[in-house]
Amino acid sequence: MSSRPVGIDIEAAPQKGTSGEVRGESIIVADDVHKTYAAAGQPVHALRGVSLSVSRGEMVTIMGPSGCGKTTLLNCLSGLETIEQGEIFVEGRSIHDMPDTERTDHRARRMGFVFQFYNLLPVLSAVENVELPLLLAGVGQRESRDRAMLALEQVGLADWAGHRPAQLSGGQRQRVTIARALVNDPAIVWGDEPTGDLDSTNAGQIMDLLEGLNRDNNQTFVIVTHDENIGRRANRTIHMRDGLIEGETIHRQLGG
Amino acid sequence: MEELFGLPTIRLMWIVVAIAGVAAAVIAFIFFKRPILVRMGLRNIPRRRAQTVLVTMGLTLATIIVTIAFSTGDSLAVSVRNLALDSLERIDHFITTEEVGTDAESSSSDGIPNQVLLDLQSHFAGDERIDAIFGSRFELVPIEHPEAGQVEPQFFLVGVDPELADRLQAVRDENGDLIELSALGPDEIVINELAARDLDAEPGDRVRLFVMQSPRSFTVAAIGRNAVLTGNLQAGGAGGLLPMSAYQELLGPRLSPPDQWDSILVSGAGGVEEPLEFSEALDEDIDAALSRLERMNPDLYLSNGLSRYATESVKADSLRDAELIASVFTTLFLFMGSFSVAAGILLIFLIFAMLAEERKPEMGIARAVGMQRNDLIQMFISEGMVYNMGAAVVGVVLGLLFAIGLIAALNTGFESFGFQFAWTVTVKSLVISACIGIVITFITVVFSSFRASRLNIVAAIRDIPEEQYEESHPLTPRRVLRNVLGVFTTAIGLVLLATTPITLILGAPVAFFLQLTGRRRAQRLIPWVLLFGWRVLRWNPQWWVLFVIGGWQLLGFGLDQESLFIYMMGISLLPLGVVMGLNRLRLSGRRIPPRLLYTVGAGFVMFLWFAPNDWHESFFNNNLNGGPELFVLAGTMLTAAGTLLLVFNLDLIVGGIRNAVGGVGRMAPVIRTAAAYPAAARYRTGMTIAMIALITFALVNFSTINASFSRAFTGGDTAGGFEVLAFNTEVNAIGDIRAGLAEAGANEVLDEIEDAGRIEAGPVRGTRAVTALTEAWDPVAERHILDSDGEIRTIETDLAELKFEDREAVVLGGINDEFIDGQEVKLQAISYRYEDEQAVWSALRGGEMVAVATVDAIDGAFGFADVDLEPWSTPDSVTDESIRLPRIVVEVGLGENARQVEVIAILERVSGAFVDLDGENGSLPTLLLPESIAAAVVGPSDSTRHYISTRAGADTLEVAQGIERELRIFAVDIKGELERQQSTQSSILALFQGFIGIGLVAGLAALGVIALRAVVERRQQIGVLRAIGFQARLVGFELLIEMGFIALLGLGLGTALALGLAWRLFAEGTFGEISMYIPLGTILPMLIGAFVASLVLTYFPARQAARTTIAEALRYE
Repeated sequence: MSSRPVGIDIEAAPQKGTSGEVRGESIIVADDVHKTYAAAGQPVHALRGVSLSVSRGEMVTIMGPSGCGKTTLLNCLSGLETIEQGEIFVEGRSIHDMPDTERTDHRARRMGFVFQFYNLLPVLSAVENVELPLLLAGVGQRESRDRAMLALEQVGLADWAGHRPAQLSGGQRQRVTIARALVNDPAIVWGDEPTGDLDSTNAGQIMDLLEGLNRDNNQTFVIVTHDENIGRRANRTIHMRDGLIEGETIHRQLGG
Repeated sequence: MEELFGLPTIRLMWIVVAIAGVAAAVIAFIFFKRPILVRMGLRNIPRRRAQTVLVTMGLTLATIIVTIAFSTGDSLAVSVRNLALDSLERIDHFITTEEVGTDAESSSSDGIPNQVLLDLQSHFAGDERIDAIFGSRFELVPIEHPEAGQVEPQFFLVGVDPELADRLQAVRDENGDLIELSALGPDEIVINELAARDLDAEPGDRVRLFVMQSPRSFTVAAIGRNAVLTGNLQAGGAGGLLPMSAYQELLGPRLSPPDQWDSILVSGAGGVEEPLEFSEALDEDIDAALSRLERMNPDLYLSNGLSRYATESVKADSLRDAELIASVFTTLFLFMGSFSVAAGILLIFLIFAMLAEERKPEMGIARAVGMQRNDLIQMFISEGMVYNMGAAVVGVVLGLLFAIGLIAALNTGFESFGFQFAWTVTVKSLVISACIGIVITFITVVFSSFRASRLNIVAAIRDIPEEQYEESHPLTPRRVLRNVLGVFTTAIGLVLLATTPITLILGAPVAFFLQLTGRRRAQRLIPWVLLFGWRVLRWNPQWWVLFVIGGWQLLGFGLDQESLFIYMMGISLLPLGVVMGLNRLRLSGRRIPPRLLYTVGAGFVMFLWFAPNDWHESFFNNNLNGGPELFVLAGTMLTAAGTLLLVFNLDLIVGGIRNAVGGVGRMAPVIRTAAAYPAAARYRTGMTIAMIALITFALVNFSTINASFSRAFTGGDTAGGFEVLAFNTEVNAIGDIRAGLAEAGANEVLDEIEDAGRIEAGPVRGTRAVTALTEAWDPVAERHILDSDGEIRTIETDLAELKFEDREAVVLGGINDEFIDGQEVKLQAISYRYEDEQAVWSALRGGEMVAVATVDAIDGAFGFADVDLEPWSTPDSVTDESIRLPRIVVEVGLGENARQVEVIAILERVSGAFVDLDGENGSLPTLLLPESIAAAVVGPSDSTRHYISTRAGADTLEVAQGIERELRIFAVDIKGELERQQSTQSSILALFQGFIGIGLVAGLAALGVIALRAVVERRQQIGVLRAIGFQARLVGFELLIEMGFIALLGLGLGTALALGLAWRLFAEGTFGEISMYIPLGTILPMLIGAFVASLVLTYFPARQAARTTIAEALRYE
């Protein structure tokens, strides 16, 4: 395991090459990303020139103290937020140059999301929640249902398919969220504190699940977390402070 | 307006002021005791301005409706009163002839002998209450304005003593200036404003009056105000006035015998309104004088034994009528507005439920740190009352604006009648409207606050569903007992409240004092005095107990009183209460599935309402009678049951929709979520559906029933196959219309006539005008009748009801052959002795001793028969076309003119409407006979109607105008007249529909409220949807579909229930033989309009949802 600062010294664009010990085909590249919010009329510089790259199949965690800009970075990388300056490439395409419709479509087809508070639609059953991204991507009803059931099976919740979120435990809900994130076979899965609302046992099980999926499916995982234990289970941890990447820790090599 | 619901409006005002005062006292009490609660409640108002506007809008509905109703009532009262005063001027009493033995009044064609006038003048000589008693004559005389080419065949010419009229200052022009009749020249005439308009005449123009076809020219001396003395004797009536000498000279001694009057008029002393003070006493004195004179001179006063002279306090009666009209209209508006008020109440409930949901976490924390449930209630009441006060002011202003528009629309509808209403409102009405609005809202706010305050603290703090909460309140004997006691306590309070509202006023300060002094034990002694005050805040109402006990009591009371309204209310509440109670029951810890309970309960209530009345009556072996008030109850109960049925099966509906839209592709997820949200939020979805359904029910049901009536009575069938109807008058009788037109050289009119039918009508009056020859029947044989298949079967109705009693008056109409040729009148029932309709008409054409009767001659066919006239009774089943009449023989006429005829058919009401001669006052039965027989019984007719069918392609209006122009008899283009009537009806109906439709505002506002709320509470979910790939426009679209889905459910439910109930009413014969007609042309635009409006209202929240920033939404808590 090695630890060294990252940031401006990391080459941003794919053509410029990427840095880090974990090498592979770059699926996410950010170059000098700036993001400013207005809070109570005052500008808050959430990201102040962040550059990084993530390889395909890599599991990366982003850690740092509260308010350091972890979630903002995740949102910007995934195209949920706009940026003022810099560039972000996802699978070789500049995500912020895409019109909103295309960006949304891209998310539907190529990305999956796991949030801290599950954010399932309470009015739909587990399987209906899971199949939603497939329906959005234009997959037929029957196929969507089959694939959603398969995804639930993968997360061990096939028997709970007809239950609404309110009828499930926290751990179960998060598994449904993971199933939803993975059902359309995304290239990248974004996780914002996916175990933040769970006890340690459940959190461990969820991480086992994510790790397995990452390993088996070669999907890229970018996870924001406070939990050092989770951080250690990733290939690499990026450390943030005050809107900047202050360094990274490589836990294990990709494919290692 | 002085009275409403039989209650003086001033008392009504004080009652609602007192109750509103109690509401204000409650707030004052809360403010003084716990000002912090008031402040906490009020701080929410400026925080969310859009919400405040929506809440206020919802609360204004009740006030708007009541203000419109009262202001319209005031306007009608004042307008009709002014019309009566302007029309009658100085005339206070009429003395006319009155039929003996019936309640019907009619002027005798014989007139009143001059001696009667002299006797009365002599009797009342020196009576200071009377300025004058004088005679008048009037007659319909055709008038022509040759220069303008205008003819008015229905011109009421009045003759009075000019000096007397001048002395009374009784005739005035349109500006109110006096017209001196004694100054008129020998060939000068005064015509009224309506005649001037119709004839296009001005002072100085020459007009011609025709008596027995002879013209006589007059110069228009002045245009008089439309009044009785200027010939305005009927609505829209053109007329004029001549000095008596000129009148006598014009009409001659036969038409105007010099020693007779048509009516004797009495003018009270003091002016136009002053005589009203002693009108009643004077009327009694005149009546007593007439009785005395009758006894002194029976030969003069009771010459024919059928009529006597009677007085009528015409001015006082007119003013009473004005009051009655105003009261009826106000009641009607309140009655129809009750749907909107109900929708408004639901909206208030919904809004408070939403407010409570929004503030749930903060309320949970407040409860956790020690705030009592009562405190929460008081906080909500404080907030609600501020909205309430604002809404009362806004509601009154909006209501007045609506009322102004409504009066303007009414004026458009009544334009053809030459009558205009003036908008008016009294302070009393304003106070009542504002206070009723405040009271309704206050009560609703109190109950809403109860519901809002019921929360599980933990669930509220964590903002999670309260499913556990329900489970913590299973049914226990203690709870049952407590709630039963609660119901009885409330019942006592309600009884006291109903009997003496003063208990509220007295009770409030007592309770306030007790509360201040902390004597809580004493407080419990007066729970009823402040039912709607603070005491009620301590009672946790369990509606199921109230429904079961109240429903049971109402059911019994309704049966006892034979009141369908009370019975239906009871029998509807009872199953709902049982279901609500069972829903709380746990059997070995397991509950009965709510879907099963509510589906069965609501389905049962719907069955009860769709079951025919006979079913209820036979089930309980009881008579049940109801009126139009059932309409409101039916709407409320059916909507409640229908909504329950829908919301408890919404997931099935949603499932069906999902299956149906499986192939919609990328829209599938949008439709799926749009359908899922309403199914999950049962309470708010149900409330909104109920609001929309309630108003839709009222609109569709009202439109359907009215359109069916309108179609029946103004449709093509009504004309009976004729296109033009013309009337002879006494002074201008045309025996043969063809000959008349030929003589006038009007060949172009003549050529257009196909059949010139005629009915020579004459009333027969006498103690045996009609003698039912029941003894000629075989009472046993006649128990059996032939049906259309030729089978003999027993009459279902009790034979005791099958009675044909003697009658004292009947109209006999002699029909000619051309009438039979041209008619397309349908027969409702024909005698078993005749093969078919053709055989019936052939018998009439052949001059056989037979007659056909109009539907008014029989009882039970329509339900409108005048019971006082004791119409002939026939089996109820006479409306069934397959039923044949038994042999009915009657003797018509008196003495040697009497003839025995057999009644062989009964005319169908609708197509027979124009041949129902109605007599002089619209209430006599009519028998149509061959012309020769009628002439033998009645003698020469003084009233002939010409029924003309025109050739194909003829311009019927031109034919009617040609007849008027050439023959100067009144002629109507039937089709055009029907269209005019329909147009007037349509505009008035549209007005009422618009009024009912105000309630839709509540439903639409509810959609707006829940859409706004959805955007806020689903912000995070919207963020997730956007994150996983919902396009921005789809998020907005999802909300639009969702709200549109709710709107469609409400509109669909309301429409289905309305049409279902209408079908039941028509099917069970509530409206006689009128068949149901669904006015799609009215209903569809209404439904589409409401749906589009719902989408427009949802558009803005939807746009807001679409613009949600994803990352912010995901961060939102």
